[in-house]
Amino acid sequence: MIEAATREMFLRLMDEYQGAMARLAGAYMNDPADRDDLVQEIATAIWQAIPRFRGDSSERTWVYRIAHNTAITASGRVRRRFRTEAVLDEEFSSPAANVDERLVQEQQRALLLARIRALPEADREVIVMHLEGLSHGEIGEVTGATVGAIATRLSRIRERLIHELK
Amino acid sequence: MNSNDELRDLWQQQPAAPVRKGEDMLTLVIERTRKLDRQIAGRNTREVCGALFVAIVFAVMAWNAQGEIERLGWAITAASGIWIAYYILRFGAGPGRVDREASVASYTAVLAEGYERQIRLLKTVKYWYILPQWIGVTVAMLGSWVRLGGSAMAAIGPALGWAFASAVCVAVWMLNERYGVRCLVRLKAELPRND
Repeated sequence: MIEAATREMFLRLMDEYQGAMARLAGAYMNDPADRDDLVQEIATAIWQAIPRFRGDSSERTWVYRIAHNTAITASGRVRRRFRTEAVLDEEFSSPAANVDERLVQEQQRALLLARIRALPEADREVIVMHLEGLSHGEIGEVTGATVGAIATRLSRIRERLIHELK
Repeated sequence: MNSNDELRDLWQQQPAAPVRKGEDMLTLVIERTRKLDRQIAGRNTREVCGALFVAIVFAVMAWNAQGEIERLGWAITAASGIWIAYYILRFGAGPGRVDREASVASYTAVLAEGYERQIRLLKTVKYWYILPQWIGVTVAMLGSWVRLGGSAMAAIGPALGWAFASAVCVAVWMLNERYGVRCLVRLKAELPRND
């Protein structure tokens, strides 16, 4: 018998975070089926963790901790399966000139995702949370790093990404 | 691309992946949880059944052995099956269900510790896995040779059996210490570093 409160919290969390989870999964997995599987795995981990949630941290950082930890395990599994590095498609390397703005944006989005996937995992998790709007303090709560270390790391990654996307 | 805000907008405007209704996701999640529980129960059952099977087979061989030394050898092999099952259950648990609510740094530290434990386990496989069985088979083959008369001709069958068992032991040793350890070291090295 599923406790009504657990069920209610799960449904609310899915409503609130499923989009963010899908974007996060995109930063870790190239294949759409793997991405979908990761979203389900994160949801399962959240479902199993809800009865233990005591509110010691904010709900948002709690969800992101579970999501990133699950993604770390899942991406290791996928690496073992393929043992090949994600290939950065050449087509992403330079948005062609004279194409309309929407196409440029699509190319930039694809390039951004490819660049983020190519980052070391520790950098990837930090930038994904930053892009999702988490504060340095919240990112620190999720990763266990200090606010200062997060700020330094983020500044380096941001500069690199902005430079690569120019 | 000039600013952080543009970067964030670009990220947030990703085409939305098909989002499941909460109820559908709940159904999927419950099924995955049950499947995981079944997998864990199945794995534990297989490990215990495998060890029991080995123990029973060699216990029957010990019971039916025609010489005392041979009987002792098969009894050692049967006992080593039970010892191995105990050792795996006691020390062999990998980084299975680690608390995913921990910070990423703590989580990866626990995963790394789990890999380290498994690496130690595989590096010592020759002592706790191979040696007891090899001793049992060696004693049994020696007993078989003694029972058959102790002559050079009588040594051929037991010697071949011993050579085969030793070759299997060496293969298991190499697989674990070379291949298994290398895989685990690579997995450990791939864990994110938050320093």
